Amino acid sequence: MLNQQQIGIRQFFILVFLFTIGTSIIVGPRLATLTAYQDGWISAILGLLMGTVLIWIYTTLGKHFLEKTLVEILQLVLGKWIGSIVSFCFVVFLVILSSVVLMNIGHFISSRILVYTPIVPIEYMFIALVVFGNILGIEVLARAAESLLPLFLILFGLFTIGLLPLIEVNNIKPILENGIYPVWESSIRYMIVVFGELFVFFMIIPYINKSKEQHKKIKRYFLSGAIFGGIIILITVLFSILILGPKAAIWTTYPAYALAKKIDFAGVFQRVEVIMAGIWFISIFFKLSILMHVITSSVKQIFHLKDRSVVSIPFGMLLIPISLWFTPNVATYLTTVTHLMGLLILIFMLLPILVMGVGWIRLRFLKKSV
Amino acid sequence: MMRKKNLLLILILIVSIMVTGCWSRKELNDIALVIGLGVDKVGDDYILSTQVVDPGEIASKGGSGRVPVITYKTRARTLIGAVRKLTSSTPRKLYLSHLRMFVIGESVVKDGVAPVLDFITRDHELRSDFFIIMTRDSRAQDVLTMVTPLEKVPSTYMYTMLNHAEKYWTAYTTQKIDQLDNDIASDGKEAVISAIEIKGSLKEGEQKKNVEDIALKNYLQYTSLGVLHKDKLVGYLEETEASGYKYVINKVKSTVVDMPCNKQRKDVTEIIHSKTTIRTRVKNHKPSAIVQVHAEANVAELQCQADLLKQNVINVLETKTENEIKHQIVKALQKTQKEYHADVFGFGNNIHQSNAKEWKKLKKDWGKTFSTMPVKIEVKVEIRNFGKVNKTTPSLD
Repeated sequence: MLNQQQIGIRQFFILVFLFTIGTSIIVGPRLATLTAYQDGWISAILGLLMGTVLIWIYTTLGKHFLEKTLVEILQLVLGKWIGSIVSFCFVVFLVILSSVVLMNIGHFISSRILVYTPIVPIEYMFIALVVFGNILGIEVLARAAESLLPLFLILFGLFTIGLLPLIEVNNIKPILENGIYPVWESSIRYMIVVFGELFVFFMIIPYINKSKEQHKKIKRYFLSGAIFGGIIILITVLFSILILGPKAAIWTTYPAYALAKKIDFAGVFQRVEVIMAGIWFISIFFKLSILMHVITSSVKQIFHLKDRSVVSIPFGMLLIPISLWFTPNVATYLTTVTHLMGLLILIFMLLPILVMGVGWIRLRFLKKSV
Repeated sequence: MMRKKNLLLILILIVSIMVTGCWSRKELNDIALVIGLGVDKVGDDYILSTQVVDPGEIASKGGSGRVPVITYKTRARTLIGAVRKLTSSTPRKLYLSHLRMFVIGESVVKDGVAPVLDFITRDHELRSDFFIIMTRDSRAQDVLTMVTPLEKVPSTYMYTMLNHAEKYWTAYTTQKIDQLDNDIASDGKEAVISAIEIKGSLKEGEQKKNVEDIALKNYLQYTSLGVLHKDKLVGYLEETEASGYKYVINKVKSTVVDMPCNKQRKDVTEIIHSKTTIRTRVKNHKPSAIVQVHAEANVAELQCQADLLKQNVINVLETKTENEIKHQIVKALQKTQKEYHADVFGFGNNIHQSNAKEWKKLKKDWGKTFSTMPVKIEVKVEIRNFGKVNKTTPSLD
C-alpha cells in the first residue's frame, strides 16, 4: 500500500506530541477538575499513567503490524466485508471527532477574539488550510510540524514562565477531600479524551520510513510523544488549579486563555493572550490535519480509490455543517457532546486492541501469516 | 506555466493582505475608551456611569482646555443594556478593554453585588486587570464626576492611589474580579472591597475649578474596607481595623506603626517586611486559630529622646511595635467576629485545607462558629536599621 510519501521517526514523534496536546489543552483542565475539584492534578497524573499504559499496549500489539494500516488490519482480521463495514464506522467516528475539534477552535475564536464574525467563515478558513495540507500529504504536514515546533515550545515556555509567579499553593489543598473515587472518575474521563484518540496513528505508522533499527524506535517515540504531550497538558491543568482556583477552572470555558490573560511581567509584557492562543492554534491545526489525513486515507483504502486527495475537499466541506449541527453551542459541547464523545472514543480505542489481539493470537498460535 | 503559477500566488497574497481584518475592525476614532465604570441602584434599575477618555485632551500637545474625560449616565434594568443604550447619547461605541476602575455604589453592595459581577466576568471585552472599589456615603456616579489633580483622568488617579496606598500605607486592599468572584463563591472566606469617599463638596468637586487652587478642598479618599457577607454589605472596617486585617491575610508590603512614647509625643517604626502564618486547629469540634506575625522594621521617627545604641531601647521599641500591631489585629477581629460575623480572613478556608473532615460539619454554620472562635495572636518584630543617625537628633542631653 505504501505511497511514495514517507516521514521520519522524529517527525512522527512531533506529530504524536502535537496531536496529544491538540484540543486537550483547552478542555483538559475542565475534564480533570470536573468531579475532582482541587485534586484535578492527581486525576491528570493518574490519567497520564493510564494513558502511558494504553499506548504501551497499542505499541506492543502494533509492532506485529508495522506495515499495515488500521483499515488493512481490520480487513485482514475480520474479513473483507465486516472489516470494511467496521472501518467505515471508524471513518464516521473520525468525522464526528474532527467536527468537534473544529468546533472547539471555531467557538473559541468566535467567542473570544473575533466576536462579531460569524463562526462559519472562521471554520472555512481553518478548514481551507487543513484541506490544503491534506492534499499535499503527510510528508509536508510532518515538515510543517517540525518547523512550527520551536514556535510552539517558545510560546509555551513564555506561558509557563509568565504564570509561575502567580501560583497560589494553597489552592490545591485539601488533598483528597472527598476520597479517591471522584478523582478516579475524573482521571478516567481525562485519560479517554486525552489519550484515547491516539490510536488513529495506526494509520500513520506505515508511512514511517523504515530500516531495521527504526522498528524498535517506533514504540519508544510513540510513547514519549504521548508522555511529553501529556506533561504539557498536566502543566496546564496544574496552572488552572493553582492560579484560577478549582472553582474557576470549572466555570471558565477556556481556562488556558483565562490564564494567558493574567500574564504580566512588570507591566511591560502583558496583554499577550492572543499570542499565547497560538499554542493551541498550532496544536489544533495539526490534530485536525492528522484526523483529516486518517479519514481520507481510510476512505481510499476502503473504497480502493486511486488518489487520496479526491475526497479531501468533500470531507473538508462536510465538517463545517456537521460541526454546527452536532455542537450548536458550547453548552451542548460541555455537557452532552463530551459524554457522547467519551463513550465513542472508549469504544473505538478498545477496537484496535481487540482486533490486533486476535490478529496476534492467530499469528502466534495458528502460525497463519497475517 | 511556472511563471503563471507564481503570478497567481503573488496575486492571492496581495489580495489577502488587502482584505485582512476588515470584519470586526474598530477604528480608534469610532470607539470610546471607557476607563471607569460605576454602578448605582435606584429602585429596580441600575444607573451605569461611564467615564470615557477624550483622546484629544489627553495628548501631551494640544488640548483645548476641556476636561479630558466625560462621564455619561444611563438608567436601565441591566448593565449591558445600559452600555448599549449609551450609544444613543455618545457618538462612539464604548470599548471596555482598557477599564481601570470599576466603582460599585454603596446601594448596589447593600443589595447584593453578584448580579453586577456576572456581566463584568462574562463580557469578552473586559479583562481582569482592573480594580474594584465601592463607594461609601456617596454614589458611584458622583465619584466618577470628581475632577482630580495630578492625573488628568480621575479613574487613573483612583487606580494609582489605591495601588500606592496598598504598597506604602497598607490599610486598603486592591481587589480584582477573579479574586472577588472566588471570595464570594467560597464558604470559608468573605470578601472585602476598599471603599472610597468624597471629601468636601461634590458640587464644587465636579467643576474644573476644583483643581485650580493649590489647597485641594474637594477630593476623593479611601477611608475604609467594606465587609461583605456572601455578596451583601454588612459593615465597614475603619483604618486601624483594616490595617489589622491586612496583617492577618499576609498582605502587608510596607507601612508605619506609631506608638506613644510619652503623653504628647510618638515614636514611629516602619515595617519593611512582614510575614503571617495562620494555623487552625479543631478540637472536640471546636475550632481555634493562631495568627503568627513576623515582621522586620526600621526606626523611622523618634520624637522622644532615646539612645538607640542601648539594647534595651531597641527592645522596648520592638515590644511597643508588637503590641501596636497586636492591638490593630485584635480590633479587626473584634469587629468582624462580634459585629459582622464575617470571616474575612479566610480561617474557614484554612480549616478546609488542613482539616477537610471537620470542615464539612463546621461549614454550615460558619458565621456563628467564627464569631466565637478563639484566636491567639503572636507578633514578633525585629528592628533592623535606624536610618542615618543612631540617637534622637538633635540630641538634647
